[in-house]
Amino acid sequence: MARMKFLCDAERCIECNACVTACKNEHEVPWGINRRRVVTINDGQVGAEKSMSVACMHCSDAPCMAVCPVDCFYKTEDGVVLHDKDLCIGCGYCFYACPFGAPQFPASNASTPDGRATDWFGARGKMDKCTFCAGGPEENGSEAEFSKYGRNRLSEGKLPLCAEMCSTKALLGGDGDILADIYRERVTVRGKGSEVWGWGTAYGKPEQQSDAGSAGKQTERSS
Amino acid sequence: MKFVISAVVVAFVVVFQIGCSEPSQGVEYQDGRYAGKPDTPNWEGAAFDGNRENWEREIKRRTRLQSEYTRPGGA
Repeated sequence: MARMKFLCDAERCIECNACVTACKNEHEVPWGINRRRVVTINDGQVGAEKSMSVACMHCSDAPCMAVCPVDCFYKTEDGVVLHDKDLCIGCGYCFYACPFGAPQFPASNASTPDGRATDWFGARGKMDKCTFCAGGPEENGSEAEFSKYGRNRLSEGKLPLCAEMCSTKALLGGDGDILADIYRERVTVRGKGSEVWGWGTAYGKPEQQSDAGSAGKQTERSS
Repeated sequence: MKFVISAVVVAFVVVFQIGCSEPSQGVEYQDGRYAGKPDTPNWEGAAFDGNRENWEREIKRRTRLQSEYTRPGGA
């Protein structure tokens, strides 16, 4: 079974914000909500500027799930963290718990594209976040699912649009093991290896992990 | 009166402890099958007609296509 993950390569991201635009367009996300955004550090400093596309990372140990008082979150068989908007009370605990700032809350004056108000509960509204283009608990591809959670691309055999349309392939999405293989190949092409932080603990094939571990020890010994 | 007060205290303690609880954060399985909240699996739809193997194969194929080192071969 695939374990869905996002991976953003900060060496490749050019801060074009196409992933943000594609997400908003694909899911018809209302004003005020950004399921995905691009974060840039050292902005304007030549050689030191790095950008990264951030959304819900569909954590293995998701803190939003841990703190939700109404237990509206669930994890699918593919490891995608989804939530039920019919249960959400808009308390905002998940927003405080999430290290990526993924949960979004509609402003009280926001509305869906067809004009319906989004302040369904109090002033904060129901939480909205990246669904890994996997919709929600409603029937796959139904109108109800689209209006609440956006398009369900996974059920069409497609990956999240933000990753699939990334022009530099900085943002990758899909099966975590395959993503790890892709990234490992990139790192070795760049002339790096076991000295890279996280190399020994990254997802991947067990034999490669053990190889990397022994290589790491050799590096430590030599240094 | 004493009973009412103690009942209120007990109820408060129970509710307070529920607030401190931590729901499971992993994928829930029972007897090897998904036992989490009900959601239609991705392969149960018009595109794959319940064929999970085909769905997984397609997802993995598209994931591999994101690598330009392997893209010309089509994975």
